[in-house]
Amino acid sequence: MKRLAVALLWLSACARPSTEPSDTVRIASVTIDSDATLWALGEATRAQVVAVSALVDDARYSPIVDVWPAELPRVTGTSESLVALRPTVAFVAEWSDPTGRSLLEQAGIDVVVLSGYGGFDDYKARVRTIARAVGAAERGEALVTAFESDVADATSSVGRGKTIISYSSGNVAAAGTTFADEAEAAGFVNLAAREGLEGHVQVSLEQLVAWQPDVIVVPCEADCAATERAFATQPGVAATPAAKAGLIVALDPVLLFATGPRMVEVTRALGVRLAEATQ
Amino acid sequence: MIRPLLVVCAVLVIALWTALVVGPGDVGHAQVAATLMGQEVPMVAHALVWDLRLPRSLLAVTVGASLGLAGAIAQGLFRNPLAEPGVLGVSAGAAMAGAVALAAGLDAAGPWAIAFAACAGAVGVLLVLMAWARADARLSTLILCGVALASVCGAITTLVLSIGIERWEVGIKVVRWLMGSFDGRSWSHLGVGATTLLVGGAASVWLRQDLDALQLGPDTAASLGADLRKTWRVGIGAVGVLAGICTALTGVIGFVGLVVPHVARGLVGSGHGRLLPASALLGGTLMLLVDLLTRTVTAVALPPGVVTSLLGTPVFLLVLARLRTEVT
Repeated sequence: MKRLAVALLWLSACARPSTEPSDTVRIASVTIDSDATLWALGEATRAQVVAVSALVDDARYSPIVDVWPAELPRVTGTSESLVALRPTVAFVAEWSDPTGRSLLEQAGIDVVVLSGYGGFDDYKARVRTIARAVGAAERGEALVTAFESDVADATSSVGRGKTIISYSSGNVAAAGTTFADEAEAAGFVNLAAREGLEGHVQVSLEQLVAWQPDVIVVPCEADCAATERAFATQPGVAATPAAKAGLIVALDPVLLFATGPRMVEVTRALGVRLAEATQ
Repeated sequence: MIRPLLVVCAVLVIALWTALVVGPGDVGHAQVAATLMGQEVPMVAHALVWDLRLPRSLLAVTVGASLGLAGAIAQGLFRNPLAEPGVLGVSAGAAMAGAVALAAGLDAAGPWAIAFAACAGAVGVLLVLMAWARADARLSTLILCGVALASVCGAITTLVLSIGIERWEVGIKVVRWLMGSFDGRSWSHLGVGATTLLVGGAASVWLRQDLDALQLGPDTAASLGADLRKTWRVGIGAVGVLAGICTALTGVIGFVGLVVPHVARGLVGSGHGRLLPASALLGGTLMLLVDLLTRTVTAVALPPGVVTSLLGTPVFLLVLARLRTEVT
């Protein structure tokens, strides 16, 4: 059955005659993360890309809207659409369908599974993985160095041990998340991590109020100021030090949930808001 | 007959007090009492008790009472001990309509928009069931019809979620709503729930005698003076409003409407004059205990619908087995 499926996938790939030499590197990117990193790796790498992810131009999720040429195919990660583009290497996320991945591998495509979205170190590791896979290890190392420099610039003690919580749809960002690194770099104590929680964990609003955070970070959809005001009216929230000090901070979700170089911007934004509130 | 209900009342009061005392934050009995009496307490204690735990717990009681009442009315209306909003697909209809409304962005129109949509979904399913039951009122037909309707509603809900994969924020909003929770519910939610329960309660007072007569068969009920058409309309409306608004407030909570009337029948008998209020009392107590369990057993908030389904499924199978024995 599997062989039949592979054969069918190859048939679909053979539907269009190939004009490229067989040793040409053809890169298919199915994650926004790899879309951004491949763009950052420079002209030579960009020229090898045959497809980017379907969400790359969606401003709600992507940090690089409208940078990739419009004529470049956008793919959603299905085996058929990928194989039809005859890539030699495909970047997929760890949560992609394992059966589809296996079929791509059997079709001779070098499938690179990107994993680990937990913070600064994970981002650096992913950049190195992508760069190595496309033969641009040196340029990848330069990106990592630039990111480390950015982090060093943004790192401060502005939080000075103040407690902070990131709360989104009932989930807090605890240890091992991008927010944990972002908050720590600004000098804050991530309450969820201090309480021994790991990853994105669902906690009650009651728990949030009982923790008494100095700063609460929430994602905003359109009007961030309105989101901050609305969150402050949630039951019990007015009793938190964050609400009393005007430190309910709503951030653009593209920024708050960033897993790439824009993570540093969260660290900077937190520092700026705290400085404004204490003036 | 009255003593068991007094015991249930005592359990309800104890559970309510426990719900106010237990939870995160250092709030003791004295601070809870002071908060309830309007005395000066630290702001955090006041927020935890007055703004969070009290409305949440009272809403759990209200929703449980509404679902218990809806189950008892549905069982009387369909003359069927397995007729329950969850089993009949009414909750799935409410969930489907609520999910579609959320995906369409109707929640921006205010808290009543989703409640109204959920009610419409629940009533729609009930109307189809009612039409079906008139043609063929057998237990198996009714349940299969409910399963089919729940399946259609589930498919539409899945379609909404699959669209949500492309629109992440819609998907997460619908999933969170479907999972259901009492977390973060305020006094305004309680106001909606209490109003619904009052409407359902008034309908049950009006329905109680006709439901008793209906148990003797539609022809006998009609000969006893029951206005069957009006009874159906009021009953369907009451079940739709009770199940629909409860689903809108707290997500899909199954099996309360099935389990509770059976237990209540064992305590007060089959007369709807006592069965309906007893179902409401038992439903409210059960739901409060479930909420207390889900928010204290683990640090991670559990959806109450999960617990009620785990408790309700064995009871459902037990009732089904008993009915099979009675038939054979």
